[in-house]
Amino acid sequence: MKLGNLLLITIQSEIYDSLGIKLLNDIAETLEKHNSKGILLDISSVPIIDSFMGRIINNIASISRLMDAHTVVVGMQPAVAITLVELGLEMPNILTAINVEQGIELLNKKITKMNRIDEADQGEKDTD
Amino acid sequence: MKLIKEKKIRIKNENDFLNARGIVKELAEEIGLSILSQTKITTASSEILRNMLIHGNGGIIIIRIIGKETKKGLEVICEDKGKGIPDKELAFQKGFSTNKSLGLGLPGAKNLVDEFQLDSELNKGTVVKLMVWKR
Repeated sequence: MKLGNLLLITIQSEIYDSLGIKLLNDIAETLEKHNSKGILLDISSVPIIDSFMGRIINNIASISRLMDAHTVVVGMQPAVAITLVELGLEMPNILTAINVEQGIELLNKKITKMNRIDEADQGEKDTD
Repeated sequence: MKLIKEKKIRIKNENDFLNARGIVKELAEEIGLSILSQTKITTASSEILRNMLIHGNGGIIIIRIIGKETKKGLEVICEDKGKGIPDKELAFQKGFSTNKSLGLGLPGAKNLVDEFQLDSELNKGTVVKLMVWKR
C-alpha cells in the first residue's frame, strides 16, 4: 500500500521462503517505480521469524538504503525479538517502531533530515 | 518416560515445512508452554527443517509429547537420508555455511532448546533431536 512517499507492507502470518525472496524483489521494483523514500514493514502478525526470514528483513533494509529509502520494522512480537537474539541473528541497521503511527513519524523525520542535508549541499554548490 | 502423543509428517516441500512448523507450535501450546518457549522450539524446528530440505532432500519429522514423572515435554525429531554432515564441529560454528546462508541454523537451534542431539553419518543421513520441558 502506498502512503504518500511511503510504502506500507504488511506481512500476514507465516510465509514460505520462496515468497520471502519474491517479496524482496517486489519491494525493490516498487521502490523504483514510485520513487518511495520509506518502507514500513509491519510484522505484528508474524509469529515465527527464523534466520532465513530474518535475513530477508535485513536485506530489505539494506536494499532500501541503496535505493535512497529507509525501512522501519513495525510491531515485532516480544517472543520473536527474544528468540532472534538467542538465535544469534543480528539486525544492527534496522530501525524499529512499536506501531505503524510511530513508524510513519520516524520515517518522516529521517526523510526530512535527508532533504535538509541535500538542500545544504545544494546551497554550498550555489555559492561556489 | 511416557509417550503421550505423536505426529509424523513427511517433509518434501515448503508446504510440508510450514505445516510441520504449525504442528510443532500447536503441540507446544497444548502442553502449556509459554509463548516464548513455543516460539523458541518452533523457530529451532524451522532451522532444522530447512536444513533437512536443503541438504537432506527432505525427510521425516516426528513430534512427540512426552511425560516424565509429573512434567511434560515436547520432543521434535528430524530425520533425513541425505549426505550427512562431514565435520560436526565445523557445522556448529556460528557463521559456517555451505550454502551462502548465515550459518546460524545449527548453533542457533541448539541455543533455543533444553536438549539437543545430533547424529549424522556420511552418505547415510542426519537425525536431530530437540527437546523442551514445561517448567
